[in-house]
Amino acid sequence: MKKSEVRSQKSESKDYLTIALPKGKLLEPSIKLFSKIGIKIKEDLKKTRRLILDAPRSNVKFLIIRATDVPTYVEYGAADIGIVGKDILMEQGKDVYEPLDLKYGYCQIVIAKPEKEKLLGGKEGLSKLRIATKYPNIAERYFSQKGLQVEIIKLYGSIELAPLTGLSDRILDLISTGQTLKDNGLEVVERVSESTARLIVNRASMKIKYKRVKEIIEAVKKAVQ
Amino acid sequence: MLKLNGTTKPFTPKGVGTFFPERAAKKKRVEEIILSVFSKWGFKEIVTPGFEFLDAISAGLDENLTDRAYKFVDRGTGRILALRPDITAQIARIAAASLAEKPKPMRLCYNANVFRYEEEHAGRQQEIFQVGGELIGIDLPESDAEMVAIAVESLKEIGLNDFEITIGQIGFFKGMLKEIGLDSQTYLNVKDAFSKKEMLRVEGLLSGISKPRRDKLLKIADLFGKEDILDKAEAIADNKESRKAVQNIRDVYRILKLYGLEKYILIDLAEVRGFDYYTGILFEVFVKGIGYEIGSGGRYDSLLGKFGYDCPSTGFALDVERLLAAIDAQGIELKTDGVDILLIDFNKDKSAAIKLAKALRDKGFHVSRDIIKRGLNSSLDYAKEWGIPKAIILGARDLKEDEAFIIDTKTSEKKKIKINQLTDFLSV
Repeated sequence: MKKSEVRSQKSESKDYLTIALPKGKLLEPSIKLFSKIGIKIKEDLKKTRRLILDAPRSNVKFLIIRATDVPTYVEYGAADIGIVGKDILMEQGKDVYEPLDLKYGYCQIVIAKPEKEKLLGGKEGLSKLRIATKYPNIAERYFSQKGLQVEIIKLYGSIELAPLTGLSDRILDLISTGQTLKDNGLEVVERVSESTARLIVNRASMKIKYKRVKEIIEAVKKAVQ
Repeated sequence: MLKLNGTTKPFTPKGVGTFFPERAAKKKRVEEIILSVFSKWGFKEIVTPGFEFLDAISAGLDENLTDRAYKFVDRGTGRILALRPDITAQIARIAAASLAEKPKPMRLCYNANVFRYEEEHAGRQQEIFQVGGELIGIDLPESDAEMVAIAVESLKEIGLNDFEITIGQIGFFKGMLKEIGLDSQTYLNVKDAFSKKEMLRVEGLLSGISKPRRDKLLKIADLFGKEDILDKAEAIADNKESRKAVQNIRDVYRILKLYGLEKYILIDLAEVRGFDYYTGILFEVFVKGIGYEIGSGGRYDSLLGKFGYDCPSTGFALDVERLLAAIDAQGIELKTDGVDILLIDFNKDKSAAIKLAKALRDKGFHVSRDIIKRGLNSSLDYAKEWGIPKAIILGARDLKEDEAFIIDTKTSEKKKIKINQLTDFLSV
């Protein structure tokens, strides 16, 4: 038996795994992370436009999808494993396991206001603040826990624009360096939470493909430590 | 095309739906198969009310389920009613109130829909069709094993093979947490982190605790697999409750081996989710191709007590829609009843056709009469469209009075035959 045959037989005995990765900032470090533990894609990430990338030797395929869709793919089992920011997990509350904090993709969820606006004594308590955000669920939970009544305005992007145009008083948004806030004349007033990339796993995959999933969790855990 | 003129309101709320004939037939078949398995094991069907006074069943519902029940006000009494969110709690109430005097054990099964308000999650409907059973009055491992065996037999009867049943017991985890000695807030946080398998968070929450004790708790996350898991669990447990849980699963597993079912079973002491009413084993059914459990069950010895009658009990339910999804995912053919014959009649006097249809139905065939007056070709098109395999034609021009044509609607093959020989011909 040739060496290549041995290898292909070995990989056949492994369960096939589908891993969902988010487009954007987390994609490259995630591909690198899996490459580090031996799960390597054939294509050059910068050149390809394919949405499914194969790592045939490891019996793995990667799905390249929008970050906000990653928890959905994993919850339904269309992907066994996914990588996604904690911010999105907190917002969506999907029913998935999240065994690992991957430590990269560090961001903060903050409340920001226009620099020029004075913090009016007591204004927050008296009238209903309007909050623009991509994270309506996090915003609702945060302000209701603080006992503040707010009006939440759901936006899909360029959140910083909302207070500048009078659409909202504050924003609740994700920042990494804070530069975008600064460039748009906004400043942080409160920190709500922190976020990093997480490895998530479908509930059934964790049981039915236990050995394979466990192997990957252990390898990834070592690689990020 | 999406119709934008007129109303934009959807016809049905989220989470409910219509089963069109083909799917309804599959649903019915699945329900029949499971009920017949229950029946073969000596279970009797029980039908519970569609809605109840909320306070009459809420004692048996965990808080989460009470919140998710659809509620409305009873006009007569002003009390709050709830569409049944759970059959097990209803049966517990009924058994405690009306069946307490009956000799034990009682084996009851049901085929019913429950209603739960659900956020959008994979596989979750607001109206859930369940087939399940309860074995009331025995606290022995053998009764738990019986329920698991019935679940396995039901799945196999349906034709599913690639499935696993995970068995755990929350008492193991609870005992370990008590052994470690956590305050109630940390306890809840640890349980939450464990339920999502966020082990780094668990580590963080336990940072104030000595390393040997912390490591013990962290090891629980790896207690998943075959029988040897039980030895590993016993090795780390130094308290009565956890040891009792391990022993119980060991006993159940031993009996399942007698049934020859161990290949379907995985031991899962790492899972800490599930309804609060489970006091003993908890099992979940997973099928290859479906990302969530398709059924679950377990032991709930204190549930009947909440309705004033202390009595042990164990049970499980399978989710019919999830089973249908699993059947589709695994490409399993379910034998369902359809229409066998379309009887097309060109005679003015319909009595011969009515007589023949009855004779065929008496023989067990499913027969529709083509009552509409139309040409033969459009009748045959109709049969084809609805998947009726055979057509019988009476009163056509080139037929004698005692003759009929029989046509295979797929191949259009046509055969002349004497009417009195029809039933024999079709039976072959």
